[in-house]
Amino acid sequence: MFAHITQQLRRRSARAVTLLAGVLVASMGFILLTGSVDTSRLRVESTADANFRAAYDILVRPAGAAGEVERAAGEVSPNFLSGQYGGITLEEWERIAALDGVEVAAPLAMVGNQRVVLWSELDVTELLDPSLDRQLLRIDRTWISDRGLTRAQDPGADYVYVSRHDLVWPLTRETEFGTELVREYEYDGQPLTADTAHCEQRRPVLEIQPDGQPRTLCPLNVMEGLGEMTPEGRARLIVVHWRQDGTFHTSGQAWVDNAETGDRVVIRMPWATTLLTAAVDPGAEARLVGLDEAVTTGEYLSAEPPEAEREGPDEIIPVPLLATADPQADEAVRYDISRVTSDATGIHGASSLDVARHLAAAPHRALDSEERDYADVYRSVFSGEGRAPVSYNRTVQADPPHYLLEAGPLTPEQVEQNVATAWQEVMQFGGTPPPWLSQDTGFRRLYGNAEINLPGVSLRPTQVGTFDPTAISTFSGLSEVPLESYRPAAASGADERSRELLGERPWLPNSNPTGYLATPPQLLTNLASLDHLLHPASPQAAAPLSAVRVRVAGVTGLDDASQERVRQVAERIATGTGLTVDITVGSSPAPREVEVAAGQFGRPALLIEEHWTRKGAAVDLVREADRKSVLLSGLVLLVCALFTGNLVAASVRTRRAELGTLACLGWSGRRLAALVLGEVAAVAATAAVLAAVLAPLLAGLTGLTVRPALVLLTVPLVLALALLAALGPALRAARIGPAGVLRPPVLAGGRARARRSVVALAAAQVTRVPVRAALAVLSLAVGIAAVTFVTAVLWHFRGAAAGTLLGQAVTLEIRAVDLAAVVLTVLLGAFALADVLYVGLRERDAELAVLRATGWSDRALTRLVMAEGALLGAAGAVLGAAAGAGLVAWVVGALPAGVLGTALGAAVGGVALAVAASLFPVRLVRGLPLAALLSRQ
Amino acid sequence: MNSPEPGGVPVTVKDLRRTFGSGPENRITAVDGVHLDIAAGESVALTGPSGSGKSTLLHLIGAVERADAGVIRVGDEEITALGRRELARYRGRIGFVFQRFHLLPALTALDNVLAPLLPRRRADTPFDRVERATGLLAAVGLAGREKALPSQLSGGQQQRVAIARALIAGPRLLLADEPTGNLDSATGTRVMDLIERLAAEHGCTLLIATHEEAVAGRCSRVLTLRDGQLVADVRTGRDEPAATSHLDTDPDKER
Repeated sequence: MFAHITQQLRRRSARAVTLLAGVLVASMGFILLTGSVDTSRLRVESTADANFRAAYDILVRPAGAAGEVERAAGEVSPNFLSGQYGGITLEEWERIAALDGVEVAAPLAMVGNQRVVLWSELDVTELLDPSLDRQLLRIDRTWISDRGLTRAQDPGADYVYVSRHDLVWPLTRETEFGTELVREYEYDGQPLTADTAHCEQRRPVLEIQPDGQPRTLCPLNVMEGLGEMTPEGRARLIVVHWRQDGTFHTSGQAWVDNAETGDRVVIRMPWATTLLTAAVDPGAEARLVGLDEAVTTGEYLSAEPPEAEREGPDEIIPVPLLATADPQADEAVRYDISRVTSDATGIHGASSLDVARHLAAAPHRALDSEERDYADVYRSVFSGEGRAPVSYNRTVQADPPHYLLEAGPLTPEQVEQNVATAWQEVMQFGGTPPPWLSQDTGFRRLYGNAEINLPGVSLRPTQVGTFDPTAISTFSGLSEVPLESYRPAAASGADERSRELLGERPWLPNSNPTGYLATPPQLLTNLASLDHLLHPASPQAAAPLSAVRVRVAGVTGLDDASQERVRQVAERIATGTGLTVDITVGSSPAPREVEVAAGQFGRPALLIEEHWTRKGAAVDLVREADRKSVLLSGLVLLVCALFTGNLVAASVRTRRAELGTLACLGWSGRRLAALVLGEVAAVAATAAVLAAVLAPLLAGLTGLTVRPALVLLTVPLVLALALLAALGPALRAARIGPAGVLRPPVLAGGRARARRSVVALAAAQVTRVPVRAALAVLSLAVGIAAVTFVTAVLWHFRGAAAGTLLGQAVTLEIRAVDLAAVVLTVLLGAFALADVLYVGLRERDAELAVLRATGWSDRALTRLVMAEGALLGAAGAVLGAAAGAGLVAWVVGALPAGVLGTALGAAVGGVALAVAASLFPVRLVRGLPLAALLSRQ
Repeated sequence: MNSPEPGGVPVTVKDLRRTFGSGPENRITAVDGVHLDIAAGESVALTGPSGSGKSTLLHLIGAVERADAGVIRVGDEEITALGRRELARYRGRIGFVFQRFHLLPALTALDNVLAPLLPRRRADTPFDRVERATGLLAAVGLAGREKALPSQLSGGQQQRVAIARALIAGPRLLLADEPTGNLDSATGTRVMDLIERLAAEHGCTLLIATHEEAVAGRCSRVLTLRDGQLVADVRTGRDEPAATSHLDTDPDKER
C-alpha cells in the first residue's frame, strides 16, 4: 500500500506538488497569523448595575492615580480629583478626543488652592463710648466649622483704636505703580517729623498728643521672627479718628485703599480662605455636563486664551474665572467685641511687638458678639463679574488622604502641620495670614508650588460669571453619579453619636486645604490660562491635566452592545496612552465608614459615612488572543480544506479507470479509500511539518511571533482537515468498483438545453461537476465574505463594530493581522478557484482540443475559460458578499446602506479576481497538444 | 471558402517532414519528405499500416499539428507559413472528422454542430446557423434528434453529428481521420456513404485517412504511406476529376 501511494505521488507529481504548496502556504499562513492574534484587551470583570449611567462613561487618570483603597477594594473616594494634580498631557487629551467612538473628552486640570481674602463688615459704632477721647475695642475671632464642633479661636485679635485726637496718616504719592504710602507726614500744612523706626519699617499713623507731640501707633501683624500663625503675627490695629463733626475716618492697617470716612465705624474684617481652581475646556464641559447651562450670572467661559492688556509698563493678563455660586463649605466666624479696660495710651510710641503683647494681655470687657456665615461672605464677593480677589502667584496643592488599610472603618492618616511652610512665600508680599482653620488636624499633605513671578507680567483673575453646581445636569435623577467632578464632598454620621454631634446634618469641608474633606473645584478657568497659572518649570506644566472624562458615542443605554462600545473605547485609550482608565458605567454608590480623628479645635473623633464609589467595572488590561482574529486565520485553513477536497476529488475522477482496474484486481473499497486518504495524508503531513519548521524561521526573519504550542497543534489540525476534506472523494473511490474502468471521468451533466454562446457553453461546463463548482464558489465566497465584513467594519464603523454575537457583547476591531488573514484567505480562495478551473480543463482537454481543431482561436478559448472563471467567481462573490453583509447585520444589528455598497464592491472585486485567477488555467489551453489529444483512445 | 459552393480546394504538399521524440533512440519520423498534389474536389484516401504516418499527415494538413519542414498549400494559402491566429481561422474553414467523434458531452447534437461557430460573430456567417445545422443533421439522417445529448446517441449517430459539425462552416476541404474506425462495418459503410455524398454535395476536396480497404476503395485516389513516406498513388477510376500524382518520395531520403 505504502509503495503504491509513493508511486502514485511520483506519477502525479504536479498534483501532489500543487496540494503540497497549497497546504504549506495555508499552514504557514495560519501559524504566522495566529502568532499575531494576541492583543491588548481591556477586560471588564463585572457588569453594570441597572438604572445607571454617568455623564461620562470612562474616566482617564494619570498612570498610578489610584489610591490604596481603590487598588485594594475598587472603591474611589468622593472628590478624588481634588487631590490629583496633573499627569496627563494636552497632547494625550487631544489624542483621546480624536479616538473613534469618543463623543466628548472633557479634560480637567486641577490647579490647586489659592489664597483668597474675603471681607466681612462689622459695624462697631454703637459700641463706642462717646465720653472717652481714646478708646480701644478688641475683636476676637472664633472660626466655627464642622457643624459647630470645631471652634477655633484665632490667636490674633483685631484692635480698633478710636481717638478724638488728631491723627496723621502717612502721605501718599502717585507712582507709576499706583498710590504709595511714603514715610512722610504733614500736619497743619507743615511737614511733620516723627521717629517711626520701631514700627518694623512700616508706616504708622501718628497721633498728636495734647502736648502737640506726634506719637506713633505702630501697625501690628508682626512679621519679624514670629510668623503669621502667632498671635502677634495675626493681630491688627485699626485706627479710627472720631472727628469733631462726629464723623469717623477709619483705616485698616495703614492701608490706603480701605480708609473710609463716614458716620459709622465699619471695620472690614478679612476672612482668609482658600479656593480650589481647576481648568476645563469650556466646550467639552458644556457638552459633557451642560456647564454653560448652569451659569447663573455673567457669562460662560470662553476657550480663547486671555488677551493681555497693557497697564503702564506692566502686561496684565486677565485670567477668566467662572466661580461657583455656592462654596460648598461649612464655615462661619464669630466676632466677640470687647472693650480694653486698661489705659489705651500704653500703645503710643511702643514698637509693634510691644503693642501686640501689651494688647493681648490687656484686660477687656465683653460688649457684643456677631456671627458671619462663609457662604454669605463668599457670595458677596463672587456675586458677579469683575476682578476677583484671588492670587495665583503661589498655589498650594493638597494630596489625597492616605488610609490605614485595616479591618473596620477606614482610618485616614494624620499629617504633620505644614500649612505655614507651604504659605511662607506668600506672606513675603504682605497680606492676610492663612486661614486659622488650616491649623486644624491635617489629613492631606500640603505642598507649596514655586512662585510665579514673571517680571512685568501681572495676572488679573477676573470673574466672568457664576455657575450653580446643583444645576449641572449630572446631578439629576438616576445620573447622580459618584466620581463626580462638581459634587460637594458631603459625609454624614455613621453612628448615632456622630450623627448627633453633627446635628443630623452632613459634614462639609471648610477652608482648610489639609482637612479630611475636600471641596470640588470652586473656580473654573480655561485651559488656555494654564500657561500662566502653572509654573513653567513645574512637572505639571508639561502634563497639566488631572483627568479626562470621556463620553462614548452610540451608547444607548446599559445594553451589552453599549457596554461593549464603552469597553472598546476604554481599551483604545488604555493601549494608546498607557493612562489609568476606568469605566464609570455601572459604578455605584458605596457608602464607606471612615473614622476621622479628633480635631485640634474641639471636634471629637467622628465615625462618618462617606459617599464612595464602587467602580462598576473592574478593568484589567490583559494580553489575550483576539477570537475574531483566530477565526479569520482559521478561514485560511477552511479554504485550504476546500481546495484539498477539490484536488482529491479531481484525482479520484481522473484515476477512475485505474481505481476500477484495482477493484477488478480484488482491491476492496476500503482499501481504495485508504489509498486515496493515504496519499492526501502523506502530502498534508509533509506540508504541515514543513510549515511547522519554516514558519518559525520566517517569523524569526520578519520579527513576527509564533506560539510554539500552536505550531505543534497545526500539524495534527492540518492533517485532520485534509483527511476530512478528502473523505468524500475517498468514499467515492471506494464505490467505484470494476465498472469505473468503463466510465469517462466527466459526464455531461444537467438537462439538454440550448447553448448558443460562449458564456452559455461556459455555464454548461462549470455545472458539469456541481460539487467541484460548489467548492470553487465556496472557496471564493469565504474570502469575499471576510473582505465584505472587514471592509464594512473599517469603513462604516471606523475600524470597530460593537454588537452582540450569540447574546455576548463583542467589539470587532480590525487589526493588521486580520487584514493579512483576509488577504491570504481571498488569495487562497482565488487559488482554489483557479485550481478548480484548471482541473476542469485538464479533465476535458480533448474537448478543448476539438474546439481548437474546429477553428476556435486562442482568444475564443480564453474567453470560454474566463467566462467559466467569471461565472464561478460571480456565484462565489455574490454569495460571499451577501454572507459578509449578513454577518455585519447579525453582529451590529443593523445594515447601513453603505454596507450594502461595500458588499457590492466586494462582489465586483471578487468577480474581477476570479477572472484574473482564470488567466492561469488559460495557459493550459494555449499549450494543448491537439493531435495527441484528438488521437487519444 | 465560407459558403458551400461547388469545387473544393487543391492541396499541395512539398517535402513535408514531422518528427516526434528526442534523441536518436526515441526519434520517430512520422512524415518523411512527402510530396503531394491533390486537385480541387478530389477524394483521396490515405492508407497504410498503423504508424505509417497517415494520421500525422492528415493532422499536418488540418493544422492540428505543425510541420518540422516542408510546405503545405491549401488553395492559395500556405498553411505552413501561417501564424497561430491565421491557423485558427484556417481550421475554421476546413472540416475535420475524428475517429473518436469528439462531441462535447454537455451539448446537444444541434449545439455540437453549431459549436465551431460559437465564437464567431454573426456577420461572419451569412446564413442562419440553426437552420443550417438542423439541415445538416437532417442530411446525416438525424432529423428529430437535435436535442439529444451525445450520451443518448449510438456511435454511428455520434459520428454523423461529427460529420455535420465538420460541414457547418461550409468547408472546401474535408479531412477525416479513420471516420469509421470506431464503428461496426454496416454503420461504417453508412457513414462513409454520407461523407462521400456530402463532400460531393458541398463541393469539398476530401482527404480520408483509413486503414480499411473498403473505405479507401470508394475514393478516386488512394495514397499509401509507409514509414512516413508516400509509397503508392493509385487512381481507382471512381469519380473525377483527375489530379497530378506523385509517387516520389524525397530523393534525398533513404528509408
